[in-house]
Amino acid sequence: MTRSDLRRSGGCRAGEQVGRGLALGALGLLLVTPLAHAQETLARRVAAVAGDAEVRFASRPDVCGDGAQMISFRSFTMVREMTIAGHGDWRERCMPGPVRVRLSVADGAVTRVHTYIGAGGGRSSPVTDLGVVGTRDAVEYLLGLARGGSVGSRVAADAILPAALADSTTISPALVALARDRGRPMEVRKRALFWAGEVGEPGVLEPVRAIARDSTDERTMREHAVFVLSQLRDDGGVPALIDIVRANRDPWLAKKATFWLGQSDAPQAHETLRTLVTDPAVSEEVKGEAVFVLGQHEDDTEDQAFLRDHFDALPSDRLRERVLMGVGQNGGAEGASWLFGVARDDARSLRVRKQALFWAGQGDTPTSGFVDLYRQLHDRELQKQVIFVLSQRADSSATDALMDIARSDGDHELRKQAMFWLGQKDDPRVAKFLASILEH
Amino acid sequence: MRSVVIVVGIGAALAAASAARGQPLARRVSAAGDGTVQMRFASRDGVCGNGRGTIGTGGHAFFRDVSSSSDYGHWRPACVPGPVRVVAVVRGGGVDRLRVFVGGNDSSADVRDLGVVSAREAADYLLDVARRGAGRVGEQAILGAVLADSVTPWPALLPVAGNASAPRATRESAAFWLSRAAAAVVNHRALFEEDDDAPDSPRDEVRAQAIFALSQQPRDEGVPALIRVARTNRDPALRSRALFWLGQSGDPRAIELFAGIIGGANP
Repeated sequence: MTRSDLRRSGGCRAGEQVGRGLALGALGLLLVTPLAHAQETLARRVAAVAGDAEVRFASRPDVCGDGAQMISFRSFTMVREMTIAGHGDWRERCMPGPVRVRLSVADGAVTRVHTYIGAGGGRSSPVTDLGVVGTRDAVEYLLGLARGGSVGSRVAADAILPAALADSTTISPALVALARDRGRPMEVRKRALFWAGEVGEPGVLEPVRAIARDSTDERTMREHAVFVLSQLRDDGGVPALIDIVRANRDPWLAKKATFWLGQSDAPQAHETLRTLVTDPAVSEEVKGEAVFVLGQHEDDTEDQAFLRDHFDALPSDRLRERVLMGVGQNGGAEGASWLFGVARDDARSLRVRKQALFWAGQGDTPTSGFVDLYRQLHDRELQKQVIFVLSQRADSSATDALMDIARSDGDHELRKQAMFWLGQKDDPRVAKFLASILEH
Repeated sequence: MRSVVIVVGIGAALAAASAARGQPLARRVSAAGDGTVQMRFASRDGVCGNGRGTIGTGGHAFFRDVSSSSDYGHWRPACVPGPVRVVAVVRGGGVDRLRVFVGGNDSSADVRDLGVVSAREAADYLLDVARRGAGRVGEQAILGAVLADSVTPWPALLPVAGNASAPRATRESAAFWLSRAAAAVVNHRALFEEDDDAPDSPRDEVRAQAIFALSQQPRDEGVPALIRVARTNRDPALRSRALFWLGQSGDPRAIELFAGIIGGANP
């Protein structure tokens, strides 16, 4: 599975066709009920309710949910109060269905908005069923809530999701307008911009790019716009992200854009990231982010090789340490071997050599490799670092190695160091070993 | 386990007795009303101080008021033998704050000076305060009682150290001083006699580190091993170190060990 797959894997799989058919059937039945109120606006009908009201309307294709805690739309799956990236078993429960909006109403004003997809389970409180409404009416009403000054910012922000999920409407212009409106709460603006990008309607790229580049707007909004660019379908925002990085008018924004480029599989994103690493004109901050994201590409041996090849040419130890981290985390056996080489290299700084050892220790290199390396090293600081690496490993052979050093190393400082870390181990053999040291 | 019960029983009996003996001083403190009272009493051999934040014993300052160190610039504050001086702030009949000094005097007009009191009476009073006082009051009261001359505070400290509902600082202070008393007993020296526990060879350093490493082990492994060292190791310095770390453990088995080692001794 590629990074794009992870970002964009759809939520609706199991029983999609069947579920959608059932849902449409249910809609057909429910369409009978609201005709008596055809002339009455939805807003008035909601305002007349005391307590909870519910409306339903058709959802976009690719929308599914479990009727309660989860909603999925194309790349995006949400569970209540948080968003998750993966799906796992959730997909099995994700069924197409109408958008179901539960509105809490007090004194004619909406105080809470909850959105569900599909039929709900048992209701814990009485609900006034306002039946099925047309998507256009629903969207008009919900956008009214999102724009309105009469409701709290949470209600306004929560009204955006069901509006975005409504079928057969073009909503992104209205959402972009909301996102641009600096009079609206930040959460409303951010939510509107996200869903403007997510619904996949044309014409969104330029407004999102404009917000990202607008130095008069708030930093959090601009950062969010960069994120939204990264989420546009078919890597549509990648050129804009590259422009932001290249222009580097605001280094903090360029750094964010670099990060999001790293999440893309687009070839031009990869190419740009590598250029950022090698281009001497690029700031250390942006270069560091490029090194970081390339290092996180665990399934890309070319990126790993690229980082190793350019290690010596990097202008600072800080950047080199980022390479060490990426190689240690994602470089596999080849990376571990390279890290050992760095650690052994007398010509390198002690700091870099120690970092190489540390990150080698975070990978899957067998403990025996570190034991052999310990014997080959002659620098006490590096040997101490190997001892530390051994102390962080859970396998019993690492404890064996520490006990061996503590028992018989010729350098008593190293023996003490090994003992210190042995003390932190939760292994019943350690106390017996330490006691035996004290008896002789 | 039985010995713990006995120890606690003895401790409680002694505590009750000492509370009764301490009453006259408690009454004098109480009669002084709300405000600050000061008293002095004889200190153990080897105790010194500068009348302010520093208290030393056996060549080591073990308590130092950090805020006062800058008063001396590059000079080390003088540590001279002298009486223990306790300054207590009383509010509503209870001790609200308590500080222990060696030497010096607070001649402020608002301090009611109770003058010199007997070390035994002072220790009884302070141990009673420790049993009832919160946080730092208990810790300081124990310090004052331990510094008192010709007093055996250990039986009264055992139940304090083992009392899980006592304030943590008080409990830890009691366990610390019990561990020091036990170390003095196993090393056949006075509580504040100069010691030579510092490791002076690489081998000693490694062994000292092994003791520390044992102290970091899960209790069920580390505490029994440390107890074995404290009971049977031939090196007094290692035994002393093991006792120190046992004192830091707060483990009931350590308190039981201290009781067994100290017995009726007063190092």
